[in-house]
Amino acid sequence: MTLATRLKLTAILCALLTIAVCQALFQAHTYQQKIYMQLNHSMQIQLSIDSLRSQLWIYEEYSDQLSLAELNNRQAHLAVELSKNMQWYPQQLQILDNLNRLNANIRALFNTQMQSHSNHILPKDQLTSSRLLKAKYSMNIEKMTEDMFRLHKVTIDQAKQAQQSLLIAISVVVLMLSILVTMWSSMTLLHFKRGMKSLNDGMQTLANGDLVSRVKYDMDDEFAEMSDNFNNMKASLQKITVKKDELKLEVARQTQKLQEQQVKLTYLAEHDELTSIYNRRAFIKQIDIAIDRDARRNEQAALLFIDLDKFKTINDTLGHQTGDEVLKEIALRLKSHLRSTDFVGRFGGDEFVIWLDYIGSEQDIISKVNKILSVIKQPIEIKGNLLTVGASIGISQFPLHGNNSSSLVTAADAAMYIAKHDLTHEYCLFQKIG
Amino acid sequence: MNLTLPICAVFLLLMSACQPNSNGMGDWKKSPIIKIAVSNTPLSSPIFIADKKGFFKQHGLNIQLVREDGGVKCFNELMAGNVDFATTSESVVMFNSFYRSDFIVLASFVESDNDVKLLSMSSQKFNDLAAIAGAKVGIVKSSASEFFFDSLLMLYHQQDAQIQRVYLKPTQMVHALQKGEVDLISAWEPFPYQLAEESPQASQVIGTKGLYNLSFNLVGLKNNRIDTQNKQSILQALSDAINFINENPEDSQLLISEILDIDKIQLSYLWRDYAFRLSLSNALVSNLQLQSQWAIDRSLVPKDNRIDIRQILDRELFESAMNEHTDEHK
Repeated sequence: MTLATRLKLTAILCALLTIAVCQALFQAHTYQQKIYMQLNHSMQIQLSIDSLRSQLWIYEEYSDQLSLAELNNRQAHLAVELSKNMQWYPQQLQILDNLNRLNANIRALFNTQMQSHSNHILPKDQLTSSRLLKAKYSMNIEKMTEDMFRLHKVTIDQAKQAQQSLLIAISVVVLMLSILVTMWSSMTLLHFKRGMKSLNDGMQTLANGDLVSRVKYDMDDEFAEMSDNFNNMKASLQKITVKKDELKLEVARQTQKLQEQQVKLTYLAEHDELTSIYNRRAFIKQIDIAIDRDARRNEQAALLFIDLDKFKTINDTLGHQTGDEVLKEIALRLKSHLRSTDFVGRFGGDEFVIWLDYIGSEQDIISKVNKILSVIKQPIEIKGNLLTVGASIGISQFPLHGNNSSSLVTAADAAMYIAKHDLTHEYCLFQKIG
Repeated sequence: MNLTLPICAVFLLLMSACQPNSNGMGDWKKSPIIKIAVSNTPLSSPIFIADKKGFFKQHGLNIQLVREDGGVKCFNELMAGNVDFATTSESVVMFNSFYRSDFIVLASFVESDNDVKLLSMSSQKFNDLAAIAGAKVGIVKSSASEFFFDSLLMLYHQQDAQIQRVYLKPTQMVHALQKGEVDLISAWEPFPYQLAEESPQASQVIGTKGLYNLSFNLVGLKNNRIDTQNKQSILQALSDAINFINENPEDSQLLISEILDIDKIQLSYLWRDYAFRLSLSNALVSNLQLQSQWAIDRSLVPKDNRIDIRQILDRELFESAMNEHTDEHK
């Protein structure tokens, strides 16, 4: 049941209670009026009886037509009083009936006198007759008095009884309705509190960042609707939040990919594609850095320009693929036999360059060159073929043969050219050219 | 929603609050047996109703009814010591008061203002009391029949009218009138009813309702073995029975017609003249005094034995019983 319906019912119950109370008050008022009316009228009857009694006494004194006529008037008056409808109860009606009968009896008694008065009666007889008459009407009046007492008693008893039952009926109805209204209102309040609490709790959990939980409300009222709407709102919010997180994640992923590509591109720009060692441009850049450093520290270094021998034959006979494999193997060997401060690059074709840092004496250089030559000459196994290549190495020294990269490279290249054409030597120091 | 339980609780609470405290019930079996001689007439209705409806039992009384034909027999049973109480008319009380004073009237419980009637076979011949001069009137000697007839003459100032009184037994009256042996009869119920049934042309000479009052009374011995408490209880039970009769006249008549085996129509014919009222007032004193005077005037009783009527009415018992009863109801 919805709260609005509940409140409407409460209002209706309150209205009913009000109507019941009004009705009860009205009934009590009506009843009181009736009791007053009855008591008042029974007093009137009492007065009529008293006046009849006094007139009987007058008649006793005078025994004439005048007093008899007056007696008749009083009797008629009493008869009128007795016949008035005062909403009597059956018990009261029964007593009034008796009173009527007694009144009629008195009339019957005096009716006997009406006729006899016209006759001439002996006084002796009248005496006995009047005595009888007096005794008879006294008896009737006495009975009337008794009946009046009973009428009063019954009227009061009835009033008391009816008032009591009215009171009980009113108490029961009002009490029951009051209890009903109180219980109903309390229940509505409880429902309201429960609905408010569940909604409030839901809002608090949302405020604390909980998007997953839902408001649970099992009653069928406005709060149920609000709870549903709140839950729907929470669901939408949850959906939106999830999308945002996913977007963030995607951005991060893309950024990483870009970074990776950047690294790769940088690598590709600086390294030879086939051998993964420095290309010409990167190598020159590295030499420039090393020259700057060595010049600052007054260090010496050497540049080796290596051109592979018999490589063209391999390339021509076994194909470019095998040639590429040979180049890769040579690059790997060169790289692995250098110190950490040294570095190797490829200038294209079968031309390799090596920078040997912190090296000054010719002796050391030649020893290193020999070592490199032996490494190059070691046979290479490719697809079941054992291949061997040789090398011609031109050497230039820093700062002896130049203080920049281009002069050093030119010097080394020139020396290598000499070595290539000199069948006795596999290497040539630039100075020896001169 | 479960509202049933609290509502029931409140209701029960109210019900128990309104419950009158019952008393007396069930005590009656332990009580001594009290015998009441009851005359087989509708006038005894309060006694029969109190017995049938259990009002005696409600007041803790163990009453046994001894049914007799007529108040005189009831009174005789009382005097013989066979019963504790008897129901009888005020005439019986009046006559006996001249011979003994060891009995007492506890209460009068019913009155008829039209029990005795003056009847003739022809409504034309005797339509006025002044016209009865020279008539032969059937009368039951020294009874309500004669008292009624004398009262009538006195009230109409016809004491000197030349009338021939024919004394008959009650059961002979109707027959004598029908046979023409008498012109009029002064007879009590149920003879007027019987006559009307047998001879529809018969009629009352004059409307006499209210001119003679017959009462039925409960009498007992002065030195009774029954204690005051029980006597009061009897009166209270009678009061309850009378209330019942007044509140349920139809049911009461039905019950009485079954008990007395009286035709329902006859009973309702009689019932109209009855006024059920428990009393012991000066009205009864007046009535008894009047009848005593009449009995003396007629030399039906020894004049010197006349007693003060008030000595044979137990007003104290009656008033205490009624006061207590009123308190009880409150």
